[in-house]
Amino acid sequence: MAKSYSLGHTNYIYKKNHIFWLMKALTAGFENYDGQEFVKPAAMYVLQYFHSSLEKKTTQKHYVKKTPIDLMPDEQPDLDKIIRSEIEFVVDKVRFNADWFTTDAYLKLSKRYFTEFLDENKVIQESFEALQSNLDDTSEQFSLIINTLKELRSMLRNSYDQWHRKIMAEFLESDLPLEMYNLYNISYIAKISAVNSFVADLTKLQTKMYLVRSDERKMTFELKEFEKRHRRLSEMLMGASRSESALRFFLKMANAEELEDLFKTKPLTLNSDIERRRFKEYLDEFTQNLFELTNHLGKTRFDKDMMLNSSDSESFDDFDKRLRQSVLKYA
Amino acid sequence: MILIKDCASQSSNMPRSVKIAVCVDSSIFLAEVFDNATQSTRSGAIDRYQKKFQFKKYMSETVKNEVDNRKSEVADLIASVSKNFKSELDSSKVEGSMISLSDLTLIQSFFSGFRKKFKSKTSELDIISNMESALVQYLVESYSRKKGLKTSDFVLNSMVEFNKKLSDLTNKYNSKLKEYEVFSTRINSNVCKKLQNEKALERVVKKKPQDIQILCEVEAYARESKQTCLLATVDDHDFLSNSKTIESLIGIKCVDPIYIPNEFAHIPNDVGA
Repeated sequence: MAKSYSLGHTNYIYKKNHIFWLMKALTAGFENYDGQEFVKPAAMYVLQYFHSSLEKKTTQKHYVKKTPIDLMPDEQPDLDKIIRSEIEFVVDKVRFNADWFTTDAYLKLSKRYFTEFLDENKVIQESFEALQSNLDDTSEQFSLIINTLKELRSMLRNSYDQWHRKIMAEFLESDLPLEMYNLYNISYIAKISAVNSFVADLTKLQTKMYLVRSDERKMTFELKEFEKRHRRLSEMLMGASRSESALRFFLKMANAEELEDLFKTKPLTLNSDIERRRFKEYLDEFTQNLFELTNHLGKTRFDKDMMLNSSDSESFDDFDKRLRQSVLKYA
Repeated sequence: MILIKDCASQSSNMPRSVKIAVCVDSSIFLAEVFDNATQSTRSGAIDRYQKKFQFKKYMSETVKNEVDNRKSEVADLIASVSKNFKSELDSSKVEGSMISLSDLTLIQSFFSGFRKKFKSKTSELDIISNMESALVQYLVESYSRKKGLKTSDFVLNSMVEFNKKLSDLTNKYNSKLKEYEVFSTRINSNVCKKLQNEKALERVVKKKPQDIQILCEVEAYARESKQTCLLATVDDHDFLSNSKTIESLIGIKCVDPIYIPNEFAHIPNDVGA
């Protein structure tokens, strides 16, 4: 992307000394940690339970083929490890030094908030516990994984309006381009779309596996096909999410005075040319990865999920149409 | 690159495989992203013909950046108006206050003052008027739907709506962009000089130097890729009306998208006809 972020050529009109008047009122309701941030590690954790295998599994005594297909891995996925790896990636990428910051302290606080997130979302917590119970029945394994993903999707859908209001509060009090917030919005919906994609593919796979249950060769083929698609989508989702996390972490670090600030909705500004340059770098990377993900999700699936972005108010129904006409009229 | 294969199998008069690249200028890409009905029909013609003649669509970095920048300007303007409007509410209303119909006067006075900062007959002014209209309607809608909406909620909800509309635009920009191959080339300064010294193009050189840049980029791309390049455009004033001059100077033909098939009639077929 060749353009530079001058933070709006029209912003000369913007009276900066006014920022903090309404800001107080706007941010007051959004000081809690961001629960939606935890959906990604939660989804990754659930997906790690999908280790389809037709091979004979090792038990304590001997090799037995317990079930024609076993989704559960031999080793329990480690949620702590997933959270640590995400945090270490972001911290390592951004490398922001502050005397109040250590990766361990940040990790500790993140885990605390993740526990809070699970406490507030009991259904997800219960699904996690059920996953850990090592079910033997393939059909139940499928259902459990699919239902947990559906719970995460519902959580994202149900929190969309509140989340959107929160990021708009941050935007109105910050000195950052609105285009970045367009991308956050698209990214939020892309995450829902990715989870939708996993759910749809797993559901389809479950049906296929039932239909070809007597043919081991066909079963292997279907599983391989699924894993190929699944791996690619996971990589794309990971790329977009990590670059978004790096961007957000950078902005928060640049404006934080203590560890807790990294989890709060606060006004964000860029304070130097170096920060502006780094911001552009992270934003460009995020933009690229995000559109790789949305392109991968495909027009049919993603555009359908973009319906979540449709207007809640009839007053704005044709605003975009008029906006486009205005641009073209004087183009 | 166009590989005309399907038609070859259907008609002996059509070539089997000819390399042609259809490049677009900003007027086409802008129309695709901003979706004006009339222009969209013309630019939509490219997609319809692409299926028939199997060609690839290209755009230069300059075209991409021009439309990207226009999108950014729109977002910046909406951001600026929104922030200023919030400041106006801040200074006029007490924290925690409710929005009411009497605030319509405040909106009217704010926009009336704000509009004065922009030249008349500009897209900026149009966009500001559209924002005003949406905010007024939203205030009335909110008031009649649920009495007692906080001013801060009014501001946040309307900002969410603006962000949704811009997100749609960004998403559309991306989905249209992926249909193209974006190229960057090193332009030939002699080619640029030819265009710059042409009297018929004086106005373009003076007022829209980026259009000359786009022509030079297409010429450079045609030379580097050894393809015949067309520049599809709906810019009648600068490109189409000067098509013959431009072609005689740099060998690039500017075509109205709906007439792209005409260019295939000139392509020699495999027997040299």
